[in-house]
Amino acid sequence: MRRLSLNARLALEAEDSTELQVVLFRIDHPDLPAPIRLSTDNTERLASEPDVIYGTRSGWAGADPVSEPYLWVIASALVPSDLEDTPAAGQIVLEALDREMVRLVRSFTSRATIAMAVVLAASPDLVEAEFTDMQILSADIDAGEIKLSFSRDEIENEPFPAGRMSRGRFPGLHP
Amino acid sequence: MAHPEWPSELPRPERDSWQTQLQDSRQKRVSEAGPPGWARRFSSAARLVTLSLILSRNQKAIFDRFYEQDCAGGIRLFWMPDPTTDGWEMLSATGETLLDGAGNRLLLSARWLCRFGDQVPVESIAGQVEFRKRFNVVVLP
Repeated sequence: MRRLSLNARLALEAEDSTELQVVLFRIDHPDLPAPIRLSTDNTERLASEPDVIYGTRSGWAGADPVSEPYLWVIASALVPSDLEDTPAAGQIVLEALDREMVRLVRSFTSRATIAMAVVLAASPDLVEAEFTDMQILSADIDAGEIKLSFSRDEIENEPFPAGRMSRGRFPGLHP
Repeated sequence: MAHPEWPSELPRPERDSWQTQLQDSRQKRVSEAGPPGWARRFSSAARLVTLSLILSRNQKAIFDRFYEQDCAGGIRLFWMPDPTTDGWEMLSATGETLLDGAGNRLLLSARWLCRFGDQVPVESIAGQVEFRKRFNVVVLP
């Protein structure tokens, strides 16, 4: 059973809850100079000029709430489910607002690591659910949105034993 | 680039047409029977303000230039003093003016970060040689 804070449990059971669940993302990649931090809630305005930036300040995953806020993106998130015997898998659907987003998603071939956490907007430092060390496996891009699917490495699809009985390796098997 | 500032030459908006409405930041709890309920959907909601100004010919030119050039045809964000707060006297709960040590009145100050809303400015003639501009702005949270 997942452990939740008392406030989160009260919020889930209350008739009219004022709490708001926020999903935070942290995306790491060797090519990135700093991890990308994203939030699904525009909790506060972080900057007005030259660009208006909203975000959530949280100390999750070692971020400094003052200098490293989680920036708001227009996204919907599917958090990994509680199913047994299946790898944790989730999705983020980002609104494709800018061609640069698509260019960035297509600009690398190695996998990025993603971690996500669910917090309440009123207590952004208190993690209610956390999913770490997942990998972004696919990105489906269409005109309106970018769907990033992430899970663990697909070990089921790896061949075992490593050598395949192919024509190149075992020509005697293929007369 | 810094956002343009609302021209200080323009007058305060008219009282009659002033209207402000919050963006709905709630999520409805759908149920077939029983009363509806609400949950929060996002933290910061924008505000939609509908207002109109009575402008002289000179002020109309200032407004048109602000809309066309400074805001690039109503695209850019801009700073605007909150007409219902900025420059108003600070009052006590009983309605008396608060003064500083030298006897000067204390004035409130507030400014909005705005963007022109769905309704582009509508111009009509008001009075003798004055113009009425009706438009709405979205106040960013």
